[in-house]
Amino acid sequence: MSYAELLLEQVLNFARENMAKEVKEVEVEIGELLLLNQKQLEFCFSVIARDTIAESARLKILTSKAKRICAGCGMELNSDGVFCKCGGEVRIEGGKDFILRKIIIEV
Amino acid sequence: MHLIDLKVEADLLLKNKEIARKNREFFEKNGIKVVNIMGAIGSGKTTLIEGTVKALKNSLRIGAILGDVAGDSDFQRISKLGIKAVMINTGKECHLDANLIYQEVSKFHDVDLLLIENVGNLICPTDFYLGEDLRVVMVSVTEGEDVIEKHPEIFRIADLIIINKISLADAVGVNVDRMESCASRLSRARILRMDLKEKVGLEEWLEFIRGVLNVSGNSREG
Repeated sequence: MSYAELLLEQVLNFARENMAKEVKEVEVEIGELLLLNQKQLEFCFSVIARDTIAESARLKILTSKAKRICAGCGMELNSDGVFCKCGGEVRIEGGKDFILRKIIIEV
Repeated sequence: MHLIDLKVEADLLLKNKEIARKNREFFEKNGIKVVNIMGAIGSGKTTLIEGTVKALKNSLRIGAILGDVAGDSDFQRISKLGIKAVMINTGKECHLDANLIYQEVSKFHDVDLLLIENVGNLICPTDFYLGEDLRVVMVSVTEGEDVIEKHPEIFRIADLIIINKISLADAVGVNVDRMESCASRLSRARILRMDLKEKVGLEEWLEFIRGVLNVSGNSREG
């Protein structure tokens, strides 16, 4: 719910700044490691957006992947372990973003 | 009347990160070390804080912020020990965020160590950096052998993982070695076995805390 609130607050801010009458679409990117359930985000957003200019907005959710890179050999890995086969430590980059990419508004 | 396609590119978690940075500045300026204690409901977070305060309050100025959805029972337990404590009720929110901490930090300007007890769960606190030096994640064997495996993200960001109530492991049919090896697959954090009722692991924890207090400028990002 707190993610839906963060999202709605920003959507309404940008919509108002641009004199929107209605928000038609919201495009948001969520990192896979946030482990946000898309269906729940959609549901929460629809609940709190009721009676706002974003109440009939379509929520388009994109997912960004985290990169797992070995600090030793530089290999990009697919598994979740802490160490690479070469013995190097695996660093996780990205995958934790929550970004409002764009909105489509009617003015 | 027409449609406009508006590029926004706004980082929605930025606000929390910015306020956490302000908290961080305050802590560093006043020489306060801050430990964010996260963990499941009933894993022993408040008992750990009690043990820490009892052992260290004569040599250190300690403060505590206690986060809970509702009620003030933790606050009652800790303030009884004669230290500065604040209760934050988060209502339907299941984590503390940087802004909630920011509202309270000035009360703790004169402490050496600030212990923050996050709201009891292993999910929501993960993504909300508060400005702390260290993150501790606490679980107990009674939550089940696979509790770590089921909540990987919070263990990945931990600096110390505590497995508590180990004397109950046999009674609840849990293999602590298996819990520990799961934690070490996910995280490089030190893992501490504990049983606060039996005073197991408390001394190692206190040593860990003393170590934190001796390190300067251990700044980290969320």
